[in-house]
Amino acid sequence: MARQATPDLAPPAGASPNRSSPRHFSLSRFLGRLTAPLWRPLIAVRNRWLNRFLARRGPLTPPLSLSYRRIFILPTSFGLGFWILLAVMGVGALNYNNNLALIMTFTLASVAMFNSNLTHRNLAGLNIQAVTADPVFAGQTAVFRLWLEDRDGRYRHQLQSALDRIHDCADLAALGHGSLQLFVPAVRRGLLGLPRARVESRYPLGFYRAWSWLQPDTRCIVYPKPHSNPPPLPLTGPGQKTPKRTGQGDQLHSLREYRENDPLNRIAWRASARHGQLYSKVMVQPSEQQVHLDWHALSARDTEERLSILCAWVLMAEQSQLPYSLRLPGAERTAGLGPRQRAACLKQLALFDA
Amino acid sequence: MKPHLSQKNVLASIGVLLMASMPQWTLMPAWLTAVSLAIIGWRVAALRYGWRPVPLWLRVILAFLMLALVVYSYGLFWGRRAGAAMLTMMLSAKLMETYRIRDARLLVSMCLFLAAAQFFFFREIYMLLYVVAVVIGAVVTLQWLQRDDAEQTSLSEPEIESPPLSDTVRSAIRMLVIALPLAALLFFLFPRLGSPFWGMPEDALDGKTGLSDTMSPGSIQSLFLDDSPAFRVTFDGPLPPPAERYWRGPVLWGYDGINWSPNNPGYRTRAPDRLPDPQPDSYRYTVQLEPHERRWLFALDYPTATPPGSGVSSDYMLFSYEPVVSVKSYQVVSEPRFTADPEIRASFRSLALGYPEHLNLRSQAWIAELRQQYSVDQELINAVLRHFNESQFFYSLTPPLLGRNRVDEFLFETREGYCEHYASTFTLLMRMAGIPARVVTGYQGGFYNRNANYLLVKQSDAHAWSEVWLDGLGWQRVDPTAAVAPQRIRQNIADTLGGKRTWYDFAWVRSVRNSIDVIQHQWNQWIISFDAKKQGLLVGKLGLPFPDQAILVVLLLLLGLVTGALVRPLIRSFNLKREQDVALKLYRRFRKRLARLGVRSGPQDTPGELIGRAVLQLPERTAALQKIGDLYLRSRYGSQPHLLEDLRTALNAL
Repeated sequence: MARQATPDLAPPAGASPNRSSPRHFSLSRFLGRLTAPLWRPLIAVRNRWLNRFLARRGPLTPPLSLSYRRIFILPTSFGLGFWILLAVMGVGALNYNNNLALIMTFTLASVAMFNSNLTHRNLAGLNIQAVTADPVFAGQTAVFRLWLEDRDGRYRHQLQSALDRIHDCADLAALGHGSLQLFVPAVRRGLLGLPRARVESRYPLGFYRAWSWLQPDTRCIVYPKPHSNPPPLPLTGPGQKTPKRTGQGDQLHSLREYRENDPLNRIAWRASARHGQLYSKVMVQPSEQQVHLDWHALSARDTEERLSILCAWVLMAEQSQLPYSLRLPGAERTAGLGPRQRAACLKQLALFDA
Repeated sequence: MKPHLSQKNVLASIGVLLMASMPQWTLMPAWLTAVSLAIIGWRVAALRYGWRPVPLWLRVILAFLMLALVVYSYGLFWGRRAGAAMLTMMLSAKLMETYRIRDARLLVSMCLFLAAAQFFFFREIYMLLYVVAVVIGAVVTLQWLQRDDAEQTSLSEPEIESPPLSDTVRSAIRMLVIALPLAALLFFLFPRLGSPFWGMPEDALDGKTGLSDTMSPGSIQSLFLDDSPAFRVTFDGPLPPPAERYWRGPVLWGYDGINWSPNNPGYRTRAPDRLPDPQPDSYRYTVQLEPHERRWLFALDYPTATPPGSGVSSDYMLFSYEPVVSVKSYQVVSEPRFTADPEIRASFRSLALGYPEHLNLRSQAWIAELRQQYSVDQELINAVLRHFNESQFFYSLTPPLLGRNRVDEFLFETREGYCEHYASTFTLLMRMAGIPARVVTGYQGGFYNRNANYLLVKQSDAHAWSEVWLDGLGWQRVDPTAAVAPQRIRQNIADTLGGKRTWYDFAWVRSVRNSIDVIQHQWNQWIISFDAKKQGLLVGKLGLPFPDQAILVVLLLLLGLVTGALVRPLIRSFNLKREQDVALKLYRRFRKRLARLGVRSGPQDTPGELIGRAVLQLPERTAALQKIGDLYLRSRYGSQPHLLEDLRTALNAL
């Protein structure tokens, strides 16, 4: 079931607004907000305690295997309610000495009890091989991907990844690989870490929640937000004004229908075979133009705005297939074009420290 | 409204609700069932046609209306019947607002509660099987709900599969199987209550089955059609002959012209002057009484001692201090040769001589005439019985209705009736003649199950007879029905009549039912009537000292751990998804077998490598190993699944 990494970096949360959390009134949420000042110090204490507690149980950084000591399990509110129901049933059955009702209560209680084992087993032994994150632009949502593997030959149902709430859910085939996503809004450029995350399971009946803490050291590179209204590209180099000459050259420009007297070596055989009609290639001479993206050329503006404009320029240069070089204080990248150049330049911009 | 309920889960929840409330339909008034079904129907239609949810105010009004309906049907004092009916109604009402997973989970859980509550009304084995089906349905639905929950709480599109129904049912059954050992342990060892936390108000009881404590026209007649068991008796020693099997129940003293009633104030508090002493050849037996929600217990004449928690009334009726609401076992020793009350108290005497003097004048004249012929009481009794026997009296279950002067009409006109008519008429004739007399109701006879050695007494064995007080002899049993239809006393009611009582009333059906009753008897004995006392006996058999609750708890914990260890393999093999890949399954078995032969392997080994290593270590099996490897690769990867069987045989041969 291995999931393909999605190359587009559109914010997934925004892309599917119908999956946002319900916003109707909830008494518990209301009370929670009202008493927040009381809870906050307690939560801080709890976090400190949890940190120390978790530290004793080995590192939380993948790759790791969810061993016995790493998995926590507690009843869900539904599970608690079910136990209360069973208690009421049991007291009633005991009081009237109704043995059939008692058998049923005990059977359901045993089902509820052993369900904790089943929930725990769904998670136990799961391997978290790595956590990866593709770079995003500031303002987008960073997608962290937990790469999972089962080595015990057990199909694992409904594994969930969670931060403040559940972000993703997937099955994992026996001896298979899979992944779960976590979404963190990338607000500022730079390196974005992942808060302490959980891998959870409530399978099979939702009586229990078993979870394991993760603290991956993966950082997501957050590029500066491209300027929405950047100045035009600072074009330089020889032949700045000369128009492109098509027809001759080393680079493919486009295809057109075959005309008589087109040289044979210009015929695009593959495309022609596909369409049952002859096509000829139109070639172009690569531009001699270059773009020098220079920090110092934007002296009038503040740091972040400069980076933002440089970022937009990188994207524009890529789009118009113009080789570009980047110059930042203390760093310089020679001219180039293509994904590697783009990634290197954007990374320099992301990590720039004035 | 998220996370919302999928259509499948709404229907599944409705299915669980229908299953859980179906037994209740046979108990509730029909209109309650109709209302409940109407709501369920509305929900299905709302799902089908996309109708809007019922607004809150209407739901509240409907809920109160249902409450009013239940109060109207059952009155203000609620027993378990009313409680179960109310639960059924409220669960149907809950369906109106079941649009979220949380609601559905609550509904399904409460359905389990409702299913457990049915055991207050049904104790038969088939009911247990039915409830097991309800539980499986509920667990399947809970699995589906959890799947929906996982799918909908996720921020991004989840990738989880929905297993087929068969797999879901299978895992539900496996969960129950895993739970059973611990449940059985808890059942036998969980400390029971010697006495209940709270009792039941008597208003809560509405004894719908069995004898009542009054005898009105037709009250016993209705029981003749009822072949359900009243109680079962196991004798230590010989059984009394059929003609002696009079199981004594309520004793009736008062007659108002139509109805007989106990009319014996304080019968509970006043004990008889003395009880008989048990003799070596007294009848010793254990009665397993089906709950009738009344206080009286049944015993042969005369109980020598009272079982714990019970007493004997001044007219020798055995009664329990608490209403019998669950199967009750008690041991009795009865001494039939005992002469009760050689002296009769004046108050009892006047009670036993009372009759409405303005009614039945013809009978009064007739008995006065007879009395002049026979001055000795015993002779008069014989004369009346002879009259019943020799005149044209008939035993019939469908006699003509009687009017105001019931005794006159019966004695001189209709001459057709069953035990109720004979006992009532005879008792009144005795009173008119100045002989103290009373009516005794109870059961007579019983089916003796030779193989299982117990006597099954059914509701259709209900009977009424008379007791007269004779100077020097005390109270003596006289059964006028025996004078008319002696076979009624020797056989059971169905055989006496010859004709069929219901369309399914065949002799072979009765005999099959009587034989199957053994199962229910054992079931009652070991499961239904298991209580603190039997628990004590059980623990005692394990050789432990006097079982108190602390010992039980320790035992429970220890054996609980053992049980946990026992079900561990079951939990481990709870493979959440059935393996579809048969070749892979066989290959795993192969690896396990190789490991036993000393060839270890890990997930990183390819089949080729593994077999190569195995051949090196087990050169004598080279051919077999290579054949298995070849078959495995061809059946799994070579799309030649027909080789699977060969692979299986090759594996078994290894």
